[in-house]
Amino acid sequence: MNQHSNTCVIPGSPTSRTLFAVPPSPPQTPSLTGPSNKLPLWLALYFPKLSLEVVTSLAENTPAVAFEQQRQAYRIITVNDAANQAGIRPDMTLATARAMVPQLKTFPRDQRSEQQILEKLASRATRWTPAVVIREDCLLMEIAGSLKLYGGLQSLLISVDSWIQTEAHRFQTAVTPTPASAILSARAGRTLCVTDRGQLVSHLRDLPVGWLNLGRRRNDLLNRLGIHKIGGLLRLPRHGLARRLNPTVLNQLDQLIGRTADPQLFYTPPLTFYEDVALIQDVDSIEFLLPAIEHLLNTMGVQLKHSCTAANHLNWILTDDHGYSLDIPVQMSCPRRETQVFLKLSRLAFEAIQLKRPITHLALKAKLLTSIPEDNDTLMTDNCNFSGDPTVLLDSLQNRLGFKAVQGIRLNPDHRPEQSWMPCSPGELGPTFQSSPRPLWLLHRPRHMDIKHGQPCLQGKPLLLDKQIERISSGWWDKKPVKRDYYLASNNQLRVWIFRDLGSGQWYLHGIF
Amino acid sequence: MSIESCLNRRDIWRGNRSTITTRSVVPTGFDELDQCLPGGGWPLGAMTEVLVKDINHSPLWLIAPALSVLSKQARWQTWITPPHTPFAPALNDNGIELSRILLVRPSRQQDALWAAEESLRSGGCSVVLFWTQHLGRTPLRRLQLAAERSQTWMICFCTGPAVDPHTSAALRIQCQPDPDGIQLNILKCRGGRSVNNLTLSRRIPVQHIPSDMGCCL
Repeated sequence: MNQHSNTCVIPGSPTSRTLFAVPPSPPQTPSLTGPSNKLPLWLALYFPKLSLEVVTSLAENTPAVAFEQQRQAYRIITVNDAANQAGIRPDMTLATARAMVPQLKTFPRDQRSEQQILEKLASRATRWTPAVVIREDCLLMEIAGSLKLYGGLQSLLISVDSWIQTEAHRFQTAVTPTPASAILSARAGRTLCVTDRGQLVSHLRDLPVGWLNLGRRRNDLLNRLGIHKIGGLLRLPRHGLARRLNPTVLNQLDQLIGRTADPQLFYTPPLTFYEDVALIQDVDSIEFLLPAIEHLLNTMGVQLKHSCTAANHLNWILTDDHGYSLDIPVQMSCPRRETQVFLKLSRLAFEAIQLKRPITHLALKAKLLTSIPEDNDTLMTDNCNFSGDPTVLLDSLQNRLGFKAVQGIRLNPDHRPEQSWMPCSPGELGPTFQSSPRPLWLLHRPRHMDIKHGQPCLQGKPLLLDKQIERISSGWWDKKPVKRDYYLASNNQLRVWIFRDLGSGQWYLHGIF
Repeated sequence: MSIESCLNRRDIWRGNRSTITTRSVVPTGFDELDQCLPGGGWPLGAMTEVLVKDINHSPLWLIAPALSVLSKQARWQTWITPPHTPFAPALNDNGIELSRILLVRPSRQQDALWAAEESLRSGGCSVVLFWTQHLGRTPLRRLQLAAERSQTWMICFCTGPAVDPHTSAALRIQCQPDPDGIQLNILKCRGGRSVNNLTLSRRIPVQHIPSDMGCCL
């Protein structure tokens, strides 16, 4: 099949037949059970009104158009139904359209938003197939590999259809064996479903040449030649076509019918989640945000589920129209993907916030993690069967009370009592070692003791000191030196741990047994 | 109707023995105390209220053996607003797993109550320890109800005199310091009897041997 594209072909010559002609196949209805071989099958989604939909949400009965600047003139890109009925067509100049319909609403095209919408749709489309392509203003999905999973082409198309209906964009679809033909048919509004490559050409034949996007000059040329349909173009000799139009046009035609490869660059969803909602009215109380929070978390939950990722940090961004912005972080001790837990933790984080001024936008940002540490669970649970997940409790406490208010403790190998333990993140394992008898309570800071008759007193009562002395003299290297003689002491109520500071000779209470 | 069938009625309570024996408990580590408590230990899924003279001198050694047993469970031991720092080397010597401990020190009293209730409700804690000067009737009742729905031992240290004589806690113990240890009055004990002047002597902790050294012995 790999013919040289510049081969000279003379029509009607007995030695060579027209290269583009496909031998007539026996008439058969397109099979909907999917191809038996593993040839690719492309589903194209085209959004004809996208450039208008991203800039306005006007009702359909108001004539509206989106335009962009092409050379010196503003030309119309997209028209809505009302404008179409009034006779306005794409490619008209804006001045003409305004002359025809004076009350026409016009919007400059916003290509960046269009691209963002397409990327959002593409990342959602990855739930059906990993091979999703954004090509110009279309989405392409290679679905041959997903047919078995979704129980055949018909049911896959139904589920894709029901998804795209919820996205509130006008769309046109087509399924064909080559990417270019799928895009072409979708753009032309032909709801084609061709799974057999042999039948492709017969379906494409009567599509207008204009949909090929060859450019105005070439379209005019083909018009003058009397070629209006793709079938006519395919019948032309290749050599002449290459000379009159361009060799790239030949390549384009070859890719259209699958004669040459048409490699695609698949879209990789970024490992971040970002979505925002504009609130219908200014919100100055957290309770009214809850539906929006829930909506955003549900959207993220779907993406986490379909991309097999998890998140351990959420960032809520609250903004108003005047540049005021408030960040509310939600931190988790381990990656999660349960929407209910996200919702609970977010609520706790929001509870600690007082809104100083009404906000108009709420956004959720999260970094997605692909490697989720998942534990194996035992088949037979042991008798210690607890309902709660300890990490959820930790996250709840930390997000409501703050990270400094919730800590763990660990040992620290140091002789000085103050240094022999340290706060740590909860659950952290420290070193273990044995020590001399120590009190269970350590005072935050040693408390000075009064002396009566040469004996240290606690609550006015003299203490009896054990004979055993422990001298702790350490820490000369880090500016917190300690030189103390520690005693176990008791009165008739308490057993305490006291020390005499060898430098000053003062007595201090340091622990309670 | 025989006397036996009368006594077997559900609404007849016989004071000479504990009626609730199926409740799960954790041994206190003190035989004298175990004998006085129904089931033979601190009640799990219930509130234990310990009244002390001075909250700064809460007898931690009294509950350390039970904490050591409970720290075998892979759940948190939540310490809410302790008066001093629980000293890690001593806890370790008492066999308490340090990595299970959550020290919670909220700035407001209502946050402390929330943390206690949340810890009980989540089911992610084996024990919740709570220190407070005074616990009102409503918060006490809430915490007791939350504890009943969990498998968690809730223990609350409060100061003695100003306390409400009625309590919804399952167990209320008053502590008085004693030269050798402690003198306990069991003021209220659900399913058991009140006991006065029970003296427990302080016990030197059994030196805890780390598991990696165990094989050498």
